[in-house]
Amino acid sequence: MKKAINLNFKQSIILILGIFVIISSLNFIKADQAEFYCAEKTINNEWCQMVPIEEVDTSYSYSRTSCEFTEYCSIGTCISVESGSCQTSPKTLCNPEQGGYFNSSEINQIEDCKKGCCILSNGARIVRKIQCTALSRHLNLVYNFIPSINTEAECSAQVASSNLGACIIETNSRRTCYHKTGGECQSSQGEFHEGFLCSNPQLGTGCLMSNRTTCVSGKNEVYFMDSCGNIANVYDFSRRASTLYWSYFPGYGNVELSTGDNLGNIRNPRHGYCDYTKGSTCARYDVLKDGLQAKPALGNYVCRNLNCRKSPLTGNLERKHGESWCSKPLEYFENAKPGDVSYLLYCYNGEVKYELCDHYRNSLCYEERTGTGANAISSAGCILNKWQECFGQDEERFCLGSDKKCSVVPTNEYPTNANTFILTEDATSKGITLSAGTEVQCIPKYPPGLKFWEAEPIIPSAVLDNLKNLELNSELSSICDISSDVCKVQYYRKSSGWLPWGTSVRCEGNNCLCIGLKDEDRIYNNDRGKQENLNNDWVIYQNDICTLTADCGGYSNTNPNPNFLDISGIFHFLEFAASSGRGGWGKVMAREGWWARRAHGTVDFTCKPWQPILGGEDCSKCNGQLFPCTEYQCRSLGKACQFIQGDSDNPLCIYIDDEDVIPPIINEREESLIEDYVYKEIHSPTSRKLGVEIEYTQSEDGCLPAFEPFSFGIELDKLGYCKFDYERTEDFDEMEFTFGNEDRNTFALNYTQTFSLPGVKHVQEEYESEETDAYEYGSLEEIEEFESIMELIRPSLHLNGEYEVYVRCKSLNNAYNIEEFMFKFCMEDQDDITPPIIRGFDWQNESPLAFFGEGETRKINVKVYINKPSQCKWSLEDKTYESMENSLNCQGEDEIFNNHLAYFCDGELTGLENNQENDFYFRCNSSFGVMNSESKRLTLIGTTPLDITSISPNVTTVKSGTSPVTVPLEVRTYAGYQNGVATCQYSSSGNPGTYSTFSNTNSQQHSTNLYLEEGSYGYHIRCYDNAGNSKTGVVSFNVETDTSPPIVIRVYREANNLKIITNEEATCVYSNVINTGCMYNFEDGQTMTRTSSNKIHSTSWDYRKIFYIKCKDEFENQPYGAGSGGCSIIIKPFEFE
Amino acid sequence: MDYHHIKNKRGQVTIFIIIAVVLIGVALLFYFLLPKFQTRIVFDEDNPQDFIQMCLEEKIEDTVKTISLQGGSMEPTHHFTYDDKPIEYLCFTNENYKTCVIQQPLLRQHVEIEVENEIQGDVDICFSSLKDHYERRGFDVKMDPGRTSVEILPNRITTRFNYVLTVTKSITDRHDSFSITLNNNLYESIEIANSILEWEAIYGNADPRSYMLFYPDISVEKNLRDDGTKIYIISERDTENKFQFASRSLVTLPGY
Repeated sequence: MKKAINLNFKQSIILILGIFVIISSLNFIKADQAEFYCAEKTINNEWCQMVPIEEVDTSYSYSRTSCEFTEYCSIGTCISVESGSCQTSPKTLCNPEQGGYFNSSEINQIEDCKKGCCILSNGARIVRKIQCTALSRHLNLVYNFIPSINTEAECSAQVASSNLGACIIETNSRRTCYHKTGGECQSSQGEFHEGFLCSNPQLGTGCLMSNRTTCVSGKNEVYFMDSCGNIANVYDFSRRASTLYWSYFPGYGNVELSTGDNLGNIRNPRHGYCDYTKGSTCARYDVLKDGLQAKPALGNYVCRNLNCRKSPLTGNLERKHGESWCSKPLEYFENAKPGDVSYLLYCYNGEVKYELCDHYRNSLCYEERTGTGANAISSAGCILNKWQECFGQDEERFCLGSDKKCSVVPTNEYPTNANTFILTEDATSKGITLSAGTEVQCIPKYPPGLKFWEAEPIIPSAVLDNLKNLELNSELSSICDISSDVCKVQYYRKSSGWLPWGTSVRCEGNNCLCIGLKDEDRIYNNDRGKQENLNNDWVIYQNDICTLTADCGGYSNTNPNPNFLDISGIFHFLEFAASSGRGGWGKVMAREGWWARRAHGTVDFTCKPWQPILGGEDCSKCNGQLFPCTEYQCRSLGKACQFIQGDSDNPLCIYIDDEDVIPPIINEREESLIEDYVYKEIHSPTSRKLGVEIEYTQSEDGCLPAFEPFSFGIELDKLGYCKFDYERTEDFDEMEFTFGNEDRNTFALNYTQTFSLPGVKHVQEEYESEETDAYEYGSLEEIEEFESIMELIRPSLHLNGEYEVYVRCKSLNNAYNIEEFMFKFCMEDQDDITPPIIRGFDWQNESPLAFFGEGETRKINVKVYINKPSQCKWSLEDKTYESMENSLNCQGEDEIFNNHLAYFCDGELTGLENNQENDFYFRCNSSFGVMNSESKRLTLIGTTPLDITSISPNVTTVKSGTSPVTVPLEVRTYAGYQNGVATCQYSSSGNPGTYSTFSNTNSQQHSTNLYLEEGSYGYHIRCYDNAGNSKTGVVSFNVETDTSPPIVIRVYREANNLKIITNEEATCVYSNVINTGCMYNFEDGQTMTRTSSNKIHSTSWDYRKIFYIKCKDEFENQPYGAGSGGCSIIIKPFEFE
Repeated sequence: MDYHHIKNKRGQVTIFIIIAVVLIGVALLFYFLLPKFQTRIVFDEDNPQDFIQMCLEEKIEDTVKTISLQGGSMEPTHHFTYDDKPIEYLCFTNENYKTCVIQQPLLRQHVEIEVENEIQGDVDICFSSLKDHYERRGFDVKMDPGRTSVEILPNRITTRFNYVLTVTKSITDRHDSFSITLNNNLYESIEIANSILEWEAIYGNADPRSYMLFYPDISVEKNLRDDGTKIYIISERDTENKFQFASRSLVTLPGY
């Protein structure tokens, strides 16, 4: 029979409560533990992240554990030999199909990924081994890698002076000369003359001095080039015609290098010894960057100044290339105000760049200045601000440790709940020296910033750990709350009953300092019931601590005088919660009734996140500064400040007044005009300004010149977004085009628009025919694209040359102008008397051309860009337009130009020669018969054929002791463009699409490893250089593996020697120890003497001993195993006796 | 004027109107229905390579430029929007105080594949157009399509089209493959990006200055956003070429 469970009432209640508690605790536990999963991929396409289950892409792996413990997201190294990279990566992303190979080891534990000294012929640097090969490819230099060297100084010292010289190669009765090292020349089977330049007359190479100069990749100096294109010595104008200087490299033939002015020859037109460490490097001369005075006396290259000129960004100092400094000194941030942030600035290659250390002062810039006078230089970097570790520190060594993240403030004997300690030695804090023995508390040295406009931030756990021993009267609600404090005060009065006016009370106890009193001091009620003889020193002190905590307390950014406290009325029931409304306040309240003889009161100080002033009058102060405005800075300027366009190049801090319905006022912008253009205001009959007319001051009628880009602009009184149209419209939305050559709707205070238009005569000529003629040559898609471009960059062409552009703008509140602002102008109505300008070509000047073989047509296509419709011609000589023999095909219609506002002509260039510079001269004739008086030259460099000098292994057998066998496939190239620098590929079949690129290529030597089984192999090789020269070759070889140890095929005695013969070349050792027998290591055996054939081995005959003999071949194949299996043979001479 | 004369006149006018309508109709038919062809591209039957180059060069350039500005992807799947452009996160963590996980370890190969995929449509069109040109000139044409491969190499980007074109008129010409080479040093920018990503993944931050010291022709900028994302912008000084990407690593939020 079942027995019912009988519970009395008390037991039932306990049971129910117990169940309730258990269920609650379960819920509490469940709610407390957030469930995160390591997702191989999330729904947001992030890889290997810890996310809640809802964000997991369940079509991939996921598990409820940390990612480092999963297989798919385990971190290792993804290696790509082809790209020369080692990259820390989760396993799942290292895709073998893309050439990736995953290694579970850390990057620094992998041999190919270890760093070492990579020596290239132009220098050395510390990089990873696999990167070294990649560097050699992209610099086109031969490399050597030394893994044991890990310091830059030691690495740089490895760069030996190169034994360069002239390498003469005779082919097909031609005698060509290149500058190479001895080894390279030997590989090319050339005739090497160490230290000689190819222009040395003794060599008879035909290479001569020239006035050409150039920069060399990997080097800083400007170099001469000889007539064959070889790099000669450093450019030195004074030695331009010196036979000696053109005959030998420095260090040979008494040729010494001159360093010029020894200061890097910055902008020196006569010397090319640039020095990167002194702030100069070789660059193509540019008058805007280098100045007129730097125009080189010879050639087109100069030592460019890499230093940065004085400017507000540089702190009004000239900064050297490589120098870095801080926007503000670190000490400034000891008293940081909300909105203060720290920037790191640096000068590189003549430009000043900056980097924000952190948006909220979690990182600050630290600077050191070394040297004096002109040699003084700054170095700076962003350092972490570890403010979290300062709160609650109660030991001097942790607070004032070597990392100097914290500071101290004296407690001034005020009562405090903060952790304090006594200084054992003098300390300086906020500029004040505190002597040993002072009681202090630890605070951040550089208070951090906060997002004070959002909900109060959570206290970091690092801070909470240090605060465990504090007695806090309530739980911390924000980081500022750390600096809240409470002080209990005890009062005593003599009389009883209600306090009449004038009654005094006395403070007792240790905490009277909270209210500025000592024991025995009196507090008096005055006639108005307010207490006298009180002061607020303690609260002011607390506020100082509060503001040093973070962005806390009662500070106002634009009002430096805090005015926040006014303590009064201790002994009333009423609270005197005096407050500035800006954060910290003191609250003094009597807790006990007046009738008590003794009363207790508390003085509370509550530290809260700082709040900015109301309104937004100062918002605009954030814009137009040296650095872009950040949200933190913007918000600190006023409650109503808003930060817009944050994720753009033009962030703005604005004050949006919701009641502002006035659109922006538009006026013309003078700064947008270029020289010789002016505005003339246009007014209505009632004198209302309608807009402006744009006039060209160099023409009589003010009309603008044809095909000359001109610009005009507007400025607004408030931020606006502007559009324009060529016709009047009803409203803003109807207008078609964005003003300012931009296609996005950003707000600004000013805009500039650029046009380029034909003149009246041009338009009339071209538009006499039907409009559809203009579209005759294009497909539908091209026409549509062309039309959209046309509409964007050029208005409808007016036959009378008169144009009006109507502009409207819209404010942030969507208020836009009812009346448009007008720009009016006319285009010239006269024959165009200016010659066309050739803007450029579709070939880069000095581009290389592939070698033209016999029977091959020596021509290429070219496109010439000009600024107006014209006819163009070219010639191999610089002559007048009429004399030029060859015409180009030019598009004449006004519409047919690209969106760089350029027309073009195209055609063929012929007469190209190999292995020399081919100069082409171009001139054009405008549609009004105005011709160029000077030619524009285009130089194209003819090259020699590329050749393959060697391929290995070829017609040979490759043997190895392992399978598959590693076969290094190597190719050498020479000639072509850049002396044989080329890219090579290989294929087993030779079919298109089956070629693979060599692992090491893009130089004159190419190599790759093949992993092959035994057999016969043949490969097709093809190589090509930057000019397009190519060469092919074939190679064949056999692969054999040898995995068997040598076999002893004969044993005999010869005189007093024991001799054995092996079936292959081997090394043999023996042991006579019977106990171990064959169980010894090969290295521990005694070596037998070998003959030159390496197959006959001998040792002294001793019949008393047993010889346990092991033999191994070149592939380390040797016998293994127990007993006699570990020996090649066991010989007992006594058996032969 | 008699009735018969007037009737003739009307008849003539009617005929002219009908002819005009028919002509306009035919013209419209031609305009909309004729296959599109690019007569702007000069076709030289001896040099199909030039045709392919002119047909595809601009497309490849535009594609490379777009992909470079978007962190290596044509359509970034996980990105930060900056200046209205999506920029792919190449290293990312959603947590604070943690270093990021690299999202694209084989960056160069990824970019190559992105370019290949983007241009493939145009490649098909151009080769089809090339074939048309030959056929219209009376050639017998055999076109064996092949693989398009893009290689980002030092100082250049080479695109190879392993199409085999055999054209026959009186003699047979065979063109085994085609290629287009752009002068572009995206290779070096990607190398630098990989190095920056390594630092971001291991140490949480990278210093742009060290790269500018080793690569004087390159400018590297780091743009720190409010949420801790960093936009790295790698620019070549002499050209307008730029490679930029986003990273989020070792982020410290305010008050943390």
